[in-house]
Amino acid sequence: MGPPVGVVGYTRAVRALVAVLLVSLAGPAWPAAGEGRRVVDYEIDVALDPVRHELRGAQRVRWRNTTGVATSEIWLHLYLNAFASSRSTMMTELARESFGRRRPGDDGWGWTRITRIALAGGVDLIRGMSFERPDDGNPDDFTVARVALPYEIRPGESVELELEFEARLPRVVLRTGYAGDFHMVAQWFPKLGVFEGERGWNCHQYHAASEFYADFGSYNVALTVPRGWVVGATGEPVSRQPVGSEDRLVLRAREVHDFAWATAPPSLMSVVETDFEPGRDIPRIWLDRAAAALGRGAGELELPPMSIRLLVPRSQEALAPRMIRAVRLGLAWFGLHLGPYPYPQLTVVSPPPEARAAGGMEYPTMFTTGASRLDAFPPRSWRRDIESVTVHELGHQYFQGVLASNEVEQAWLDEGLVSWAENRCLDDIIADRLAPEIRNPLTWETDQLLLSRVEQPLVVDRPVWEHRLIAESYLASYDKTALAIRTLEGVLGEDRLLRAMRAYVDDFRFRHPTGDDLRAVLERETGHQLTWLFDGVLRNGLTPDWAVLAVRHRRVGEPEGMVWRDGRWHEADERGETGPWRVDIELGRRSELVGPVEVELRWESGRVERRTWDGRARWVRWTEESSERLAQVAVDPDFAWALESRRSDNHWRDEPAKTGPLWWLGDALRLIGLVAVPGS
Amino acid sequence: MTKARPSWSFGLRTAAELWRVVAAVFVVSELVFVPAQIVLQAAAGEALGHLPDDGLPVGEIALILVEQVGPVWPALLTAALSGWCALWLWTVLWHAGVVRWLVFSGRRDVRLAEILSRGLLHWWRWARLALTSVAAIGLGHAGVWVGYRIVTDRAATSELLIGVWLVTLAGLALLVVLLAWLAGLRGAWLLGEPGRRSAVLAWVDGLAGTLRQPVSSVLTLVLWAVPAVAAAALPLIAGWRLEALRGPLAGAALGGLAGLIQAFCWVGLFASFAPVRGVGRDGPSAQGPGREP
Repeated sequence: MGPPVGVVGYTRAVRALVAVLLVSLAGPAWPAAGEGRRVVDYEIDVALDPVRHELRGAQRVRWRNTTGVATSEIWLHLYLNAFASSRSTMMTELARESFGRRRPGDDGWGWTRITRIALAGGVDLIRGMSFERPDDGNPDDFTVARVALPYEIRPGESVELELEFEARLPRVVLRTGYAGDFHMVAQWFPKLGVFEGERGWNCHQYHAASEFYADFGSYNVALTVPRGWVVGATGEPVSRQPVGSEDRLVLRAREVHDFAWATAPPSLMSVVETDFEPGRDIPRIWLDRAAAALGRGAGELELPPMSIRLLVPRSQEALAPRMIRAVRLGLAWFGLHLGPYPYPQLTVVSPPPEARAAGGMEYPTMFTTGASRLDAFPPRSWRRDIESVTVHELGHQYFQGVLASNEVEQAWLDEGLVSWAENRCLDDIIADRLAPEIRNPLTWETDQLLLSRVEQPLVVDRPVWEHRLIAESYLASYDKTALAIRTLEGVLGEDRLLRAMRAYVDDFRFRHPTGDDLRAVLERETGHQLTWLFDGVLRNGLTPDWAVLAVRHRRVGEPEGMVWRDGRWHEADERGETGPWRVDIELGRRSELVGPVEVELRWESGRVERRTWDGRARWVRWTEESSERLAQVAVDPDFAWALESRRSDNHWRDEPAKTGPLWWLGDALRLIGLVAVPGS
Repeated sequence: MTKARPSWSFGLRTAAELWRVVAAVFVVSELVFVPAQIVLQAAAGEALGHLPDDGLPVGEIALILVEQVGPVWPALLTAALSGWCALWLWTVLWHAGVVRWLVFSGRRDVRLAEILSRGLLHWWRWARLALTSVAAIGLGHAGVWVGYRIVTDRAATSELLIGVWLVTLAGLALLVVLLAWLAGLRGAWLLGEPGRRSAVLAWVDGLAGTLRQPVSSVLTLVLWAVPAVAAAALPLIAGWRLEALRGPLAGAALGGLAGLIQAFCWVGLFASFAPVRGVGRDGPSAQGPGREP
């Protein structure tokens, strides 16, 4: 007798493993399929009703228990139920803040329903299905389901499930849904959580600020859409055939952890098929710079060509070249610094303006960007929004796509690292004038200004739903983490950090790294204990704050008063005012965060000294004797500690400037005042 | 009176004659923004004084400004807006005063107190005229914005065509300001005519006059406004190019000179639109004090 129904035996697993090994041996430095732990395989057949915005699908899922613990249940995400009512956890979280204006509206609510779930072969499981609320116990949230199995799936064994489901897409309020005829179909199918052995199933509810976490696997998906509609999807197209008044497309994706697609009539969206050609699209200066930074030869940084498919609203066609340029530059930058993009194709969707809330979102081998038709014209064309969003979402192909960290529990691991990389890439694009339209050169400064307005300590390393506000969770995950990495770059050096990041990507591709994994790699590669970063900044919400507390000068001369000389008391000479200067420099650490900081001393003659203060004590006094006065002191003169937002006390001058940086203010006010004159 | 052409030379003579008004315009223009400067200086002056002269990245300066000014921004905004409003109120006041003085005073000696008291007495009428200008500028720009949206809605059409349209719209936006300004300048004098009550009608007549004499109107405006704006920008440009001109003494001297030039230009510009044959030495007021309605 063979194995129990639905359980695939050891032999098949070994065969699959051999196949995986063969593929990985045959592939390039970044093997495409089969390198990671392939845990789950989906076969889905789904049809879209574009009028009712409904999906009807059947899927077969094969899940393999790769942990050392047996389980007798399966947990599933039913993400679309987050849009089922105003009482779901996600809608409640949105309503708590200004995001509350985002409601699908009367006929725009979305939902999903499993109509059949069974073991392959027929054992019905629907009676053993229940809803779970592991995060907040909200009885009105139906985004997580638990299915009891009739037997245990032991380590190394697999189970195969058959499901049928119906779903209605919401009107787009967040990431997924429809707007008119445009359909962004994401988070749409019943999707397995991640079984983590002793920790059980990691299957969180759908939160407003959280994204996703899933196992790697393969997806074979058949989509039925109205005839002629354009489709952009995860994976590679296998076939497209007319069936009655519809088209049936088959797509295949390997070594991914999600599948999303978008479709619209050709009258609304056009498709641009193009490619990334390394010889044409990698700026030579970037190649040289990356080779020098990483200590590798240019040949080692070779990138493969690949295809790019852009779906863009017809009203935004003028922006397509700019989007494609941003994609190519992003592929070049990320490829050079973090390794080649590991798939043969990339799909980019720019949702129409009505579906703007679906923009700026990442999926494996696909992402949505965002633009307005006004971006084609000055002054909006001077902004860097298109490059910013496109490069950011492209970056997620690495930090989240390939390094699939848990976006719900540690969102900062992907959003923060991508924000750092996005800013670094944009810095290079702007500095090398590769996008000459951009007039706003500020990248990090925006993050710094935003963070400077936060009054509460912002703890980064916590699940997204534990943040007080959605806005705070974004600030923590995106801006603060990006600045923390930027600070690390400033303190340790850019090249050293780039090498460490490259090692992190190499070590954890097609795996699920945690914050501890990142710490271990960074400490190993840089040779530094990074307690200040991981414990101080990320886990305890600390930010650096140094200050020049005081600088005092006094003459070192003969003592004042009476001196004992030649056996009797003499009055001290008046020469006390003519000796060298004794200078006390007092530096302080106003925050709990301990870390080394550079201090620059500039003397009257122009002599400049650099020292490092380890910052361990709350304050330090350096006493110097010099024939000249100290003219200026600057703590962290290079602004290496990009996280420090209180910078005004980092500087000291012996003679404060009378004009200062605001010399222009009065004149500017007068000039602006002229606006009043024509109206008078 | 409405058919008289604007006269640059009359404006020049009158501005010189009204030097007390020029001085007052200069002083008030300098004073209106002093509160904003005091607020800023008190909040950030000391910290900013300790910053190095050069080498600070733009981002750090912005961060320090936000750190220092953030806590006082309501006061700063109030002070700046108050200054702006005060400048507007004051301009209306001296416009009204100069019109009443020039049209109805037969005395040739210029007494500032008399001009200002006349302006104060009829301030509301000229304020209505000024508000009409503001409304016209607002409406005109709203129209330009609608045009911008319509043009950009047709994003798929030729980029060249769109470029031409955008330049045209930018020109229209400027034209709206110019027309409203010129209509206001002419209207201010028309409003001084005996029997005139409606500020809106005076503004409309001013606009009609401007459209009848577009070249002389715009030329006069350009002749005065360009040096005035240039004078206002001079200290900024000079300080940006030459560090020595940022100091308190050099900066104040340059700023003062620029302010004087500016004040003279504004008075000269306004007087240039006086209906030359109707006022001054050629007009009835030269025969003796006019009868004020």
